[in-house]
Amino acid sequence: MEGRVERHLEADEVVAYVDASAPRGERKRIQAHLATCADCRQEVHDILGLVRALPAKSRSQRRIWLPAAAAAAAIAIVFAWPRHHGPGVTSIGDHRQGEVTTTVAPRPLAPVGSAVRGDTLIWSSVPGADVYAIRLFDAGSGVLWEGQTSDTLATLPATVGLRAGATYYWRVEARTGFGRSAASDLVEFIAPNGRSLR
Amino acid sequence: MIARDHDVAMDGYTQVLAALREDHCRRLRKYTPRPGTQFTTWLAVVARRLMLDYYRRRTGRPRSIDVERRAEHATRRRLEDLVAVELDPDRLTTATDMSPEAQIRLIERREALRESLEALDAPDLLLLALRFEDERSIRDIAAMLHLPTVFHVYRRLNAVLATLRQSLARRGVTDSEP
Repeated sequence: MEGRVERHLEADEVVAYVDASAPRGERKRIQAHLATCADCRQEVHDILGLVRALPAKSRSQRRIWLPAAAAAAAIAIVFAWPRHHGPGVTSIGDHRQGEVTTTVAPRPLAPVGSAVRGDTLIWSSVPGADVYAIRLFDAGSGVLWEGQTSDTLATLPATVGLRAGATYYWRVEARTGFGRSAASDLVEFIAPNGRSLR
Repeated sequence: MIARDHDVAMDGYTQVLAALREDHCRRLRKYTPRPGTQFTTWLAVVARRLMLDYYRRRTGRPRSIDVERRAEHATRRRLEDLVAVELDPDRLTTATDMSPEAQIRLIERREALRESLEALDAPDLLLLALRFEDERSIRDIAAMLHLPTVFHVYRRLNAVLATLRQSLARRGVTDSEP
């Protein structure tokens, strides 16, 4: 049924369809296009997956700090992207079964925002998690440090020097075995001013 | 593989952020709230498209998945062939195995199925494309069609296939013999 596609869906059309806000007539028109366009079907599939992975609070917030939201969405995109489209993944059948996981994502507790301390990362525990993988990034998206622990806190080694007043990002991923894992949102914090971090 | 994916991911992240910041966040400022839609959904669409452009420039692959699929699956059967197998699994013989009369009959059957498919509503056509062309899981199909549960997908799929059988019967295609 696929013929040559003259025009792909506009971004607003994809959004309206994914968020189920398109009027009936527009929805049918979009579905008629999707029936013949593999590109747009793939896009809708990917966006639905990303939207469903976001916390409910993020989905409903209207007042969003744009740079942080842009960073969070971009990170979600790029961390999801290579698993679906990276080298070696060529079979459509790879998408036949959706990822099955009931793992709850850990929640970063500290440091978040204007931090009192920046040398110890703390997060909520996840039932069944046997190891947590943590990554710390600087504002330029460089990886400053990464580590693994079975605990729910990690102390940065002395070799990781955080600059007072600078912005950093970190996330933690809980691994529960059988290839299942769940990662937290990327959170931002500002290293404390005016005092040694060690 | 993981390390390489992470490096590509972080490169892409940097590119996407840079593109979003360009010209005083011109892309972000183009956002217009619409009733019932979420900013995060819109941002995900924009960021994915930027990432796709970056990835295609980086790997030199064609921009369109349609082009890639046609190239990579040049011998892949059409939707009506895939649906035909679903409707009648016994019809797996190829045209080259048949007599000339049987080949003509097979062509007529495929034409009847094509006409029947074209008579379907858009949601039903999309359902078949997701199920037979993309081989999506039932759970994914439910999400993409905004159906409440996977059972709705199964019921709808069975109903569509029954509709196709009836349509074929009206077009004189009722038996399994060519």
